[in-house]
Amino acid sequence: MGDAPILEARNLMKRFGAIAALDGLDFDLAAGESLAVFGPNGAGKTTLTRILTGSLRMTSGSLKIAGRDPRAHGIETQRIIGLISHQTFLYDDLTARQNLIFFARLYGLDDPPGKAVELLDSVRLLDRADDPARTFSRGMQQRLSLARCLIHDPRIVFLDEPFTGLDPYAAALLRATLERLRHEGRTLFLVTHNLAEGLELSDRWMILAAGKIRAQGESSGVDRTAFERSYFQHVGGPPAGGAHA
Amino acid sequence: MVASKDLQIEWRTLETLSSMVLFSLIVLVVFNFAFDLTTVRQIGVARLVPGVLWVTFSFSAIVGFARSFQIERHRDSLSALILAPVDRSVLFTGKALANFATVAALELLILPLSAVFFDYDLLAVLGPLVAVVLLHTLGLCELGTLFAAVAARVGRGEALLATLLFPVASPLFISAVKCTSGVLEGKPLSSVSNWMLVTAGFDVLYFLVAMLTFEYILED
Repeated sequence: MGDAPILEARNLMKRFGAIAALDGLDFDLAAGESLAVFGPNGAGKTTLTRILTGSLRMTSGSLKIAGRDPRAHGIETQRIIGLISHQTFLYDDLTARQNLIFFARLYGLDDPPGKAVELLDSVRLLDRADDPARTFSRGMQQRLSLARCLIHDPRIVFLDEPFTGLDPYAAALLRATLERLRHEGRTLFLVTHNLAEGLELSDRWMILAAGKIRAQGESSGVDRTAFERSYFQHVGGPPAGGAHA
Repeated sequence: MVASKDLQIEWRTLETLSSMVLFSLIVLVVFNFAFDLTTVRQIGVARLVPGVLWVTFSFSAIVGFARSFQIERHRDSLSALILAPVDRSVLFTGKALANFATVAALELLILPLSAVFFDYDLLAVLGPLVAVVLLHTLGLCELGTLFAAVAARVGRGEALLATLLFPVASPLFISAVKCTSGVLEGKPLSSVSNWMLVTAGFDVLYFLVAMLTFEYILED
């Protein structure tokens, strides 16, 4: 991992009217590091992801990605980030190949058709390259979305609950891909409800609740049971009848 | 590339164009029944047909404008476009071009039909009429694309789009009807040059406003 933070957030605030969705967040992300963000619904995780990826403006605070202010260097910043969400961002009526060629052209890549084939092969969808995306299962669509996200070789990959709705095979493939990305030295920002999975796929973790960072720490060596108890303490306790991550 | 993608999707599904054509046909048929040929000749083609044409084109175009952003909302593809390292004005230009191509294709289908329904010699006025229609369609598509983006972000669809579009586009419609009327009377294009120049000016103005505001429309 590099020394200089690839992402620096200082006093990040986002208000929707009187509601503070994000209330003064301060955190860094080192290059090559993987950060898991946990929190209950409404904690501000998706709001944070949208601000970091440039689709939502923060109310105040400062943000630097790879040393640049995204507001002043939006296009350069967008070149190095990728996003996988529970939505696939695909066009149902285009084939898998056409979807990837479109995004390759959007990112100004050389040889978009060649790049599309390379990525379809990497996510094991080459045999379905010429089928419309709407004919794909949820797992296949997420694999195609992963290919879309990685087509421009982003340095930072944001993942907003990417395992939502995936079957075990697709989830395993995504997990393996994320491990490969970590091994390649990419920076990952993973938002997930699955505590065990998040800890496994991260170097550090952060718990967000009511727009504030409640706790953060290193993921290595964390006792899962103790972490789950600690998580519920930070977010306001488990629901009646107990809860499991 | 955004225009190419939109047109590729439309070519595959023909969903937008078919809806627009169907709507246009219904409007033309209704007007055809409302005004028989005797009435048309009494009123005059140049007085009646321009209004019919531009009501048909504008309401059909609304269907196309709304759909142009619905395809981005379905899988939240708009977020991927916002994430891409391209100026937002490129996204607007692509969307507007695709809308222009679709509406122009509709108009090329509807004009001959209107000539049949209202019994006028289209070939005699084809060149000037096409020039009038395309110039005004350009402005309509620029505004339509801009307000369709607003409606899509707010999530209100065609109702909001029509509410926003028609008041702002009213100078365009006035000019469109005036120019079309002049052309259908057999007058040369130069006789409506003032209106055409005003429309060209509005087209440029709408484009510049869209370039300046589209980024803020797409962002929350």
